[in-house]
Amino acid sequence: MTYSEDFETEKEILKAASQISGGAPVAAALVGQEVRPRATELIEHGADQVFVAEDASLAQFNVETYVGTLESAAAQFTPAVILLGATRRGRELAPRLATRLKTGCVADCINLRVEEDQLTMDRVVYSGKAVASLVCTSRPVVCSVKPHVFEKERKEGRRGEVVALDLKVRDPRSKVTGGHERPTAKVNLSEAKIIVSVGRGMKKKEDIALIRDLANVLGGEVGCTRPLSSDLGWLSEEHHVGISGMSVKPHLYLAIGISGQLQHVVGMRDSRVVAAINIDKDAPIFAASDYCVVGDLYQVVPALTKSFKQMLNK
Amino acid sequence: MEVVVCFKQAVNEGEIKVDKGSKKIILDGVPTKISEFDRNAVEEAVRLKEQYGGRVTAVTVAPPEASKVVKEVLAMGCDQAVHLSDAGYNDSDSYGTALIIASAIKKIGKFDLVLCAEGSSDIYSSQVGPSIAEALDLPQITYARKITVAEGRVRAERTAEEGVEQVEAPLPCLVTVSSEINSPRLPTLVQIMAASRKPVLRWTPSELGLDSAPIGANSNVRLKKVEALTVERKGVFIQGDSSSEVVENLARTLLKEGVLK
Repeated sequence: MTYSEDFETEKEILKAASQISGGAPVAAALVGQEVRPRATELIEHGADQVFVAEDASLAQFNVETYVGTLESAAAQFTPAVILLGATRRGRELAPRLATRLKTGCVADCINLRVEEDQLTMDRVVYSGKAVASLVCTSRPVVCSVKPHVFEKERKEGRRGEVVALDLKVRDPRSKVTGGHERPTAKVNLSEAKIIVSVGRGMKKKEDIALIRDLANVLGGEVGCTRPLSSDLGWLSEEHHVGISGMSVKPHLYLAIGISGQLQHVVGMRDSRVVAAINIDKDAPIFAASDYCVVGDLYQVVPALTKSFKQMLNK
Repeated sequence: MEVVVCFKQAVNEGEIKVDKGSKKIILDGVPTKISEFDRNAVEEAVRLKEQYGGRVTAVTVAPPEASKVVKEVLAMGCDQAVHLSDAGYNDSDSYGTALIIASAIKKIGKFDLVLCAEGSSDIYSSQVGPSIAEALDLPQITYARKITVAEGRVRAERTAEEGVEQVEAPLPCLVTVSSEINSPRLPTLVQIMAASRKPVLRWTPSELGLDSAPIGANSNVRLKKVEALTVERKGVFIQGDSSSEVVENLARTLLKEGVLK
């Protein structure tokens, strides 16, 4: 059974589910308000059954009500494996659901395979130094799957069943009382072919314009390390590359003013080519790069932008 | 206010060596330290006590050698610690660890707030917190970057994918905190010395009623293998007689690599 509050992610994990189901039926849970129309799309992406939980009280994600809902779906479908998307919300939902079902949970799976009749789940550990392979002896197995690892696959006209979930939604104790979306354009680093990323070498927020200029000339996106997004708030979370942020796989990753901590490097390790600019010749980033330039980014970046502008006739 | 804060000992992942031949990682002799984000959780617990009064109990499931880390959290300002070091707890998975901690919290008695880090610095599964919340039937707030308590409720500011959210829940509640919430204090020598006089409680699995629980070697999730993740990179330093030549060379190299549009 699959679930993610992020629709695109749910389509990806349906692909993951079909890869390990060995032909057994796959169900998808759809939770929210007026979500039934989306069931067809989930069926086209691999769901044999879609459990729809529709209620005004489910319009907004709340871990307490959603755990109860998925518990009901699991009781009806009795899955051997439950896959959730490892978004922030998914990562707080999965272990809570597993504990509700008195079973184990594995987070952030990057690979799933069946070995000797056991589901083996791979995840990155030690800030990116290693990959651990884990199995779970209890049932159902619950795990969260990293977004952008599996490729969703659509088969138009595919058939499936839509089942309305019979549920009683318990009033949640926690409530969202406010919030604001960061006023930046929607950025999707997971699709970007070129990422120009910046770290603490940046002295002030306004200087990010230098990075944006370079990214624009290259037709790429801007990325950053955790301090710039989470601590300083200079860029939104969508730009954050690293173990607690995004994993990216561009053709080119330019790491600028980034020291190269493991927690960041693990997020960009699948890049085809990595080039780094750093003022410190001993910066760890250079060990994780193909091409290295020791220099002051405040000089190198504008010069590089100019160079590319001429080279690419922009 | 009664605050319970959970913490653990993590390996210093920068010190882990890799055997390039067998792809094995070498954990023997790697130094341990308190998991980085746990310091933020402990700091927040102590700040809440300083603001609202009460007591902070720090709980950990860790081997006996972690007494050094236990002293550290006591020195930061926790009033007492619970150090669960019985061999029967070794190799517990997240669910097992959560069951152990939840049982210990029940044994401690009344509590208002349970604080955890958003995840551990070495494993970062972020599972123990939410599992404890479920085991104790508490509401949960994750990735909190700011916490205030008033009139029996906790209000938090948290980061979700699309932005910041204001959330609130009644006490008792479990909150996981992100590193943005505070800068952890460095205890003074006086505080470090006072730490040795603070109580450290220890309980066996039997004392916590966990004899037939899926903890330790009976955990549901088991590790099959760990393999080093090595990515070979060229590590070529771009040369040039002047900085402008270096820049040109880099640009040309990347063009040749075919990664530009």
